[in-house]
Amino acid sequence: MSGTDYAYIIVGSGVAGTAVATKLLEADPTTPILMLEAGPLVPMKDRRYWWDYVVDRRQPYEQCEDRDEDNRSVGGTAWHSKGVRTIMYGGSTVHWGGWSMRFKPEDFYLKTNTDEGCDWPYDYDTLEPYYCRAEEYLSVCGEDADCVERGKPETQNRNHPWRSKPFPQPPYPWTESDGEMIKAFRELGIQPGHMPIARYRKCMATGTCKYCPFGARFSATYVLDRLLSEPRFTNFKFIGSAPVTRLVAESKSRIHAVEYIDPATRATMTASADRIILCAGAYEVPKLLMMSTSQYWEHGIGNDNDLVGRYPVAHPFLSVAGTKPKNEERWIQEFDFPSLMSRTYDTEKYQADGKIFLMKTAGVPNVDIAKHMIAGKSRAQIDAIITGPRQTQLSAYMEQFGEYHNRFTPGEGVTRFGLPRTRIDFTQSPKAAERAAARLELMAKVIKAMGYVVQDADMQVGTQDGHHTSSTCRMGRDPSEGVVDADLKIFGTDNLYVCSNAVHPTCAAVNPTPTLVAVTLKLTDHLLSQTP
Amino acid sequence: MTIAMIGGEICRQQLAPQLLLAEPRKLTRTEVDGLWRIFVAIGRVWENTVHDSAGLKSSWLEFLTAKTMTRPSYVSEYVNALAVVAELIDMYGETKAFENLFLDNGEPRDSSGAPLDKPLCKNDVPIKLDTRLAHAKHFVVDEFIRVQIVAGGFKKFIRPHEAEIRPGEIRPENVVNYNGFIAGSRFNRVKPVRPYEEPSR
Repeated sequence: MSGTDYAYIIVGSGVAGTAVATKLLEADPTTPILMLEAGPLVPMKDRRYWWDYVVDRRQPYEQCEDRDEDNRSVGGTAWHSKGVRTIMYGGSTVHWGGWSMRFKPEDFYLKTNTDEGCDWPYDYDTLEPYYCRAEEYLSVCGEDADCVERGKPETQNRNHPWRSKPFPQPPYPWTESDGEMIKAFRELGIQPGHMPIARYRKCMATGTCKYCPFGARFSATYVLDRLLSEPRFTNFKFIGSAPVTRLVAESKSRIHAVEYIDPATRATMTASADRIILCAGAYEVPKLLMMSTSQYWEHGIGNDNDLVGRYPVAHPFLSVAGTKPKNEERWIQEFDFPSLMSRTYDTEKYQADGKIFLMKTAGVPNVDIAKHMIAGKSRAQIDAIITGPRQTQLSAYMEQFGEYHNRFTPGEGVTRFGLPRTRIDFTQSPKAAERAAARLELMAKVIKAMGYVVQDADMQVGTQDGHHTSSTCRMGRDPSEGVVDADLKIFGTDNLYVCSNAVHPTCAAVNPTPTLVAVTLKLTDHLLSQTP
Repeated sequence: MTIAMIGGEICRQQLAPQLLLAEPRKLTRTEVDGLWRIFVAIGRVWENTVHDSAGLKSSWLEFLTAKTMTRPSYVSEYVNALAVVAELIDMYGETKAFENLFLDNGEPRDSSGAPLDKPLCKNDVPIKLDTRLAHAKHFVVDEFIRVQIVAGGFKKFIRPHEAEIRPGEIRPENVVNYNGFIAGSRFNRVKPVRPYEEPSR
């Protein structure tokens, strides 16, 4: 440290921020680090909270999730953010499902392959060792036999790209109710797979993953608990309910400090560091950069090329349902997560028209037996409901391509966390609707092959939600292409990094968290290699 | 549509809809026994448990402790429910009292007397919580129903024709899962769900 308060300031306490802190502290337990989090702490693994969640399905951290009024959609396509993130100790890993798939090799070459979006500045093979470490960090379960062999073409029709190490945990089984969809998949040449999920061995499949009574699904809160409880990490400091409002530039290349709101006094405080790592997600990071104007950065830090906040992408959600007249097997989806998935349409062949990742919808078929008992229905009535008409549903995430005209910027006013509201200017390309319609037809074939009746209303393209929002400060090979370089350093600065889904140049068709952790571990290797 | 109302003076006494205030405290043995009687009756009315819910008692007691020893405390709601149930038993006898409370509790009914669908989930539409009876139904009976289904009674709904499962015995072919179900430490040694068996290909 040279005249600064800390070696590192980390903004955000989600999966990226805690992984950065963990690796830096494991390398040198005395590293002075300040972590600032805008949201509050909500106790986890609390039995009262858990029982309350079981009986009324209200998550104990509901007050930390995005509300409609926190963000304002102004573009041609309504962008919905309600419930998308949790702004709190541990970030959005508190409420995530734990689905953990890698991006595929072609996801790193979107521009080359399709002339859409952007390529990554490196390829899958570069990130592969970090994926292995990320899966160990997250404790991901999966099926090794369902991975492409290295050097073999993807014509093997397997669900996962090549890997140099086995999955850390074995997969969860398919349920009996998955069987009819597995058979239909095979008839149609679709490879059925087990959903890789970030769960520790102590998981007892309670189906209450959104608030696990044992802490069996990975959450950054448990990582942070450990960092704060270990005496050897004596110089690690965490401040919650402390939104960062501005970055302070000492010169064009050196970002000296952050300004944040003190949770006790509500006064604006300043803390300085040798390096600042922004891990506050794809909504907050671009706004913070744009709000940090100075004589050196007239339009905000890293924004000389007017790219900060542009190219936002998320995952359009598609679904096709079907109905059969009877459920004689009394099936319900016994896991509260999809146990059956497929990436057969998530390959280079389908890339130009939007890859999709398929999953049998969690919670279908299902009967909320307690709900009917509470309503006063008799045993005979409930038996009739259970064995009555049965639904099935196939869902998909579709890849979205980043477009220049779409943008996140600071909106008017602040949220209850003291963060600026987000102004979301997003208009979806007309081509996206055509792509989605074509994909729904592929999905409907599966449901029909299962012998279910599909009505037009059963084929749905969901609203544009902000789940998995990425790319708002994307990586590029040079400042004309992106906001950060391959080491996640903001172009034009020496010590300011972004580490969140914001840096992903593409969002592929799958959940981004394992890729974010892999990217984070690559960043920490870089930081440690630069440390004297 | 007519609205039937069961019970007497105690059941009909007016209350504010909010959870009744109480300090956390340990319930007395008598109170626990009285509440257990309600829990057991749920299993009897719906025929969804074995051995009168005995295998579910540890889960239920843990739930009860969590609800009474931490804030917001349910102690006053539990005391209220005991008074409501005592009055119903006095008026109808035990079997009919619980049937009335669970299946015939003054909610909307059609002209033939059959129960109509009422708000199925309390989060969807607020139930009118203006009497001691309504409080007992909402804060105690409805939550006990959820606990019973979660803690294991659900199996009887799904595999009703199979041999009864002995308490503590979890055979893979019988295991079915429900949100919140925890089967104990042996759970990791068996499949947590009815698994799909691959046909020989």
